[in-house]
Amino acid sequence: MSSQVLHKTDQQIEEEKLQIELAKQDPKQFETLYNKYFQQIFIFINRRTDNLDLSGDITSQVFLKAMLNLNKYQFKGVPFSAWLYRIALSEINQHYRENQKNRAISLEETDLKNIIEEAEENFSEEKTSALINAFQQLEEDQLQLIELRFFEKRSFKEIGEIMEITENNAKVKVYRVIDKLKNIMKS
Amino acid sequence: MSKFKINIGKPDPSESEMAQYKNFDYVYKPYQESQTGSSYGRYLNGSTPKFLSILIGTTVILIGSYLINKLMTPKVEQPVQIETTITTPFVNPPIENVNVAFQEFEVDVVQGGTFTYLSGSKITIPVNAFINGNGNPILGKVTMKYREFHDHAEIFASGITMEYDSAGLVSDFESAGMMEIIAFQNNTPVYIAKNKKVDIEMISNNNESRFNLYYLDTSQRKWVYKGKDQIIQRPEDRMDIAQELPQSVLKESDIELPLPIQIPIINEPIKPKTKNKNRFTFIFQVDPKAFPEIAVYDSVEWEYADVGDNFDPQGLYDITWQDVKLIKQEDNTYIVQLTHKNRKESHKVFPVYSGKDLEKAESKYKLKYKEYLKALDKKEELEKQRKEEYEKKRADIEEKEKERIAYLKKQAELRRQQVKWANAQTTMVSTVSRVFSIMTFGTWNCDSRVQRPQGIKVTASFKTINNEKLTLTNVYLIDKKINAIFPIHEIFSFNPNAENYIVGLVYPNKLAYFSPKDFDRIDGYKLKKVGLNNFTFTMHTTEKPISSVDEIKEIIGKL
Repeated sequence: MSSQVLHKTDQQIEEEKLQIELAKQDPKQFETLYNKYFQQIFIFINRRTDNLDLSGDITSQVFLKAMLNLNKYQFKGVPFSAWLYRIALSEINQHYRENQKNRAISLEETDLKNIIEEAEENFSEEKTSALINAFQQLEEDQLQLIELRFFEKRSFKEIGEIMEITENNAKVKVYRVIDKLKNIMKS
Repeated sequence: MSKFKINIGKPDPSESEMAQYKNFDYVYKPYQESQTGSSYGRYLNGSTPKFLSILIGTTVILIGSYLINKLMTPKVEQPVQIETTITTPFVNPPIENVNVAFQEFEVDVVQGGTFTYLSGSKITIPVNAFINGNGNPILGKVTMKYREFHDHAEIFASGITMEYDSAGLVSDFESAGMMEIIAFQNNTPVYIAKNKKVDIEMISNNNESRFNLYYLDTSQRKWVYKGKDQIIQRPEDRMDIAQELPQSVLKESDIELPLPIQIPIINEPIKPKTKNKNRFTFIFQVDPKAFPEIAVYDSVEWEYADVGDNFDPQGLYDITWQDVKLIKQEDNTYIVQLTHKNRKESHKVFPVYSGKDLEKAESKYKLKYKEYLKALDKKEELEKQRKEEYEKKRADIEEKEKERIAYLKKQAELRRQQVKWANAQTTMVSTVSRVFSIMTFGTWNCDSRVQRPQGIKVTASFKTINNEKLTLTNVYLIDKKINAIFPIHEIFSFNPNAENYIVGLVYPNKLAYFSPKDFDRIDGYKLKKVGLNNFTFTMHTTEKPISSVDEIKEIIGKL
């Protein structure tokens, strides 16, 4: 389970900027961007909802909000897709805040192994189960960092762009969450 | 209780599954509706219908409860309250927002100070001169507000009465200069402390000694005699006074703020890579200072990155290269540049390790990475702290700068007025300072009692030049040679030999006037020297309402 690559060549960035400008002038042109990013946003949301209908709804909300706010979007080094992910995270959070339901976390077994290794612990069944329990004690933003870094294998730069923090800050925050998980696992 | 539902190994939805939800119309239609203001809310979390129904429900309940209250509540007659107190302020400027502007000074209570008004008048505040409303001494900064009234227009606009009631005998004042001074701390009035006095050197264009000093007691609603002032000749050039400007409150150097010092970049350790046995590697010593990220590990080998497994660098080994350069790339690879005479070779390489060296390098890397993250954490914290400090300082400076700009703007405006005032006084016979001390803030006047004009007595009425009846308020008779304004009631007298004019106000704040020339045109033979005449004054009126004291001055100046 890995993420789509956010970063593009200069030419791709220029093409995308043009598409955005066209969509600003004629909203119908937004369809190009919708088609381009629909699947990755849908998957991103579904991993956190585990519900296809709900994912479909939230995905539509994300693109609708993007359309409504497109005039506010200005390319300042952050890719358009990162902006969509930000909206998606906000919509997911809003949904779960309003509905008081438990959101989903989707991961692979190897992801757990990677986290355990990152925490400098030896991989074992016991540790795996302790880690899964430890996730329950994380705050939403802490879990988001783990998801983006270990379950979706995003670079710190991408994480920074999605979570509106610096790359270094993303590293530090991930490190702190790992430390927290390590402490929870030990306790 | 679980906060999250954890799915392990569950595949992402297939393309066909996702395709069921992919339809641009799901987005575009609500977008269009939102633009036409129809039913956008339906698409955003579906909250609108619920909200509307709550509103409708609330309205029904409110109407219901209103009707019930209306039917059930016994009718009670409310007592009628009659206002018995006269609330008109004693000083009542005839035109709202048209008055002589105050000039503000800031004084440090413990230091006191002398300040110069735009006319050149000086106000001297002694140290520790202020108390609050409870009579307790205060510290800190106090804002002084000061203004002067010197001519007919300024006195007219001030709304300050020039009538003097001495034991029931009403007369009028001719002024040699009037001033008002008030003080505030945090917008709350403050007062002069007991045994302290504020010294005033008020510029005046009248050097005669017949004037006394009066204080306007607004609680008793009358002028109170306070003795005599002292007259001092002022040799200064008035234009010099006009150029005397207070200093800026903020120095230029205060505005400059160096950006927070950047903490040096911390190099991330490079994760050691395993040597590919199928590829060529080579060994060479690197300067540990230039490449600290390599120097932390032992026994590094360099592997070619941009060549296939069949690459044979044997030809490179046969030459003794004169110069070797290693250049770090962003992706943690390096470019090795080899030079021999005219031959140059450039290859992309990266450091690799094998066997026990790899194990050692890996465990060293873990330690180094942890150290790196800790250092990064510290750096972030420190940078955040510095940024916050910087932002706070910046905000403080911006605030001060705003104050400074507002202050300078105000000073520029005052200076403009000052120059205008000084230029307007060119006809003054002499300039003196009338010196006195005050122990109470408020309005002070250097006055001489003057008899109301005598001569022809009229019952006055007013009309426009179009013969329409005119209702005037704040009507005054003015003798150009006397710095006084005489209120006109229905019956008044004027001196036919004086240079008279009448001013008053017509709704909405238009100035009505009867000029000295108009007085000259009155056929004296038709008016009785003794007894009462009925006379209708045909007034000129301004086209627009009066908006400034300067405007009044300009109109009066032309009469």
